[in-house]
Amino acid sequence: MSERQPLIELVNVSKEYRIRNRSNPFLKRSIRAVDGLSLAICPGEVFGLVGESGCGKSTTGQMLAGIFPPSSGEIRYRGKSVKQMTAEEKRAMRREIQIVLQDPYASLNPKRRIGWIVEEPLVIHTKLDRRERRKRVEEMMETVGLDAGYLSAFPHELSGGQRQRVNIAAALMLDSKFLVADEPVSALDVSIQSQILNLLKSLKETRNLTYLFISHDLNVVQYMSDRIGVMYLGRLVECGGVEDVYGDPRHPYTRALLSAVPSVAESARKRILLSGEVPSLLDPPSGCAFHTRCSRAAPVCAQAAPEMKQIGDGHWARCRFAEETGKE
Amino acid sequence: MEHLLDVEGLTVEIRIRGHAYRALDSVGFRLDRGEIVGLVGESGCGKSLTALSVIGLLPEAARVGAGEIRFRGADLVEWTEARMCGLRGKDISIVFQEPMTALNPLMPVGRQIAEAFLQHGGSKSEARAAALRVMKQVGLSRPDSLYWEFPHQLSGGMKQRVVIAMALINRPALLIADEPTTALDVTIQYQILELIKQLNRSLSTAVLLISHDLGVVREVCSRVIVMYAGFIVEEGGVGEVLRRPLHPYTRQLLESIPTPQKRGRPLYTIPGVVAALDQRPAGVCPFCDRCARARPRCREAVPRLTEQNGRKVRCFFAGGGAE
Repeated sequence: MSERQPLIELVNVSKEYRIRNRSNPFLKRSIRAVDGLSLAICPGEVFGLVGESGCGKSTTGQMLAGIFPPSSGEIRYRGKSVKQMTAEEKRAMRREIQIVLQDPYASLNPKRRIGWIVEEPLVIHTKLDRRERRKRVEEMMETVGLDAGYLSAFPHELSGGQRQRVNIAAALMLDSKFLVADEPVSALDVSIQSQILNLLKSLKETRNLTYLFISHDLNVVQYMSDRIGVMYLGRLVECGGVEDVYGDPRHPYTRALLSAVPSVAESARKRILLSGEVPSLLDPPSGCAFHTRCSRAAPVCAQAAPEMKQIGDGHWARCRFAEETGKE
Repeated sequence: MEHLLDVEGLTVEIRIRGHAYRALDSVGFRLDRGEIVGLVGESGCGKSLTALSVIGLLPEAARVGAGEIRFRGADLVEWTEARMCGLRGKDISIVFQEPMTALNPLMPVGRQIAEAFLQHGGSKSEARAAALRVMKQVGLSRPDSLYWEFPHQLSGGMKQRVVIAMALINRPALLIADEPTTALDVTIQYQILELIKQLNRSLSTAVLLISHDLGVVREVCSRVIVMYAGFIVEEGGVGEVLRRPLHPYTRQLLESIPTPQKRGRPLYTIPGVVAALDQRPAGVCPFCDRCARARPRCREAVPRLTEQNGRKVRCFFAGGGAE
């Protein structure tokens, strides 16, 4: 995997948000939603990002989609740092990177017809004439499995699954290469969810796409992804191939997270009940961020944050005891 | 033996633009003391409406058209609102999906929990003592100081524990939990599900758990009822239903859930969507338009919910009997 050139890369990226104190405007605090994150996504790969709410997975996705820049660190696209790109190069990159958001009810302009929504990217980024644009829109509607009759419909006339198809169509209009899918099926029913997952999978094959697939549903991520990253409190705690991470999780958080997933299949797995809740980003724990809930925590864990350790081929975990954990 | 809850032939109609549509059609099921039963289905199938009819909180546009809801032998459909008020929160409680909107943002959480006790005739000091006791039971640490905190100071998981505490303060015989963990993260979901199981054991409260997630139902329930478009289509022991589903809907639903074994293959998809309430065909099998095994007969009549070997299924061709 390392020989191939990554399509997009995050190098030691952090994102801080300022939080104002309403009673004292001079007292400014900031939280680190993403803290020193590095990851590389190769062409044709589906990289799944999992974690609980507030862990920074959506912030990561939005930085990768170029919605806002990181506070520090570097994003590289096709080997080139975004900071060093010319305006023209940035425009080209924006055409290739698109995002599909979670809530199909909120992400479409309610006052515009479907045809307009799908066509807009072409109006902004290309010089095609109206007939040519129309033709492409109709082709795209067929690709995502929507009847061309919906072109003159408004979003409220469509079901959740159909709206998500519209979002995907708009995202792919410019021959995108990299798609950030931020919880694309979380708002959908199970029977509709499988339709959208199949669509995303087949589009990936036929159009040679690369995905960052963000979800809190670990069954869905496992089904979709080649590699996955697990985030906790703004940091990547484990990263590796899906078989490695699901089959042999090395970070105690990953183990607890995987064991808590309700499954329809019967299994004799050992369940790990985590006590307490995710600490606040305003007041993150010292040392390893997980030590307050970790069953293995040693005194040293509260003092210094562990580094990412390589455990196997492309399998990394941020835990002091990652090597021993596997032998249990 | 008398059942705790015995719903029979329940039909609920919703009025849309002057037209009455059947949102629930001859729903019938039983719940015994201390049991945990799951009610599953996709959105619009009538699970929440079933729960709301039991507790007498149907929206304005909806009304019970026919059927009986017998709780400890008394038919709740006949009861007046005043009588229902004496029952709600005392004998039957409900926990909703969204803990953020279920709490009053301007009232300390402890007082909100105690309020349910005061409503049913207790003194203030008794109510406070009962609230602190139930807060401990649902695993809220430091109840004394938490009593005076406001909902915005609590995390999602803690808020859901507060809502559960409110529901349980009067030791109801039946707890209806409507998607209690849908808004929560997996590790917190696991904590809340464990809590519900543990409270069910220690207080022997019967639980009707409504969920769209078959995995959640498998974790906590002993029996499961599957609903589709206002009908009960299948009922049985959780293990059996998930291992060997009899109704095509249950089978197709299970097929379309991603599991490790399905990696690398396309997922099964159920064609179409659940028909909107005003577009449902009458007098046919509710699932016939999306069913992989539909025959002409399915479009002639609604199949009956038939029982075989302790399991119920609403399909002409279930179990191969009529095939």
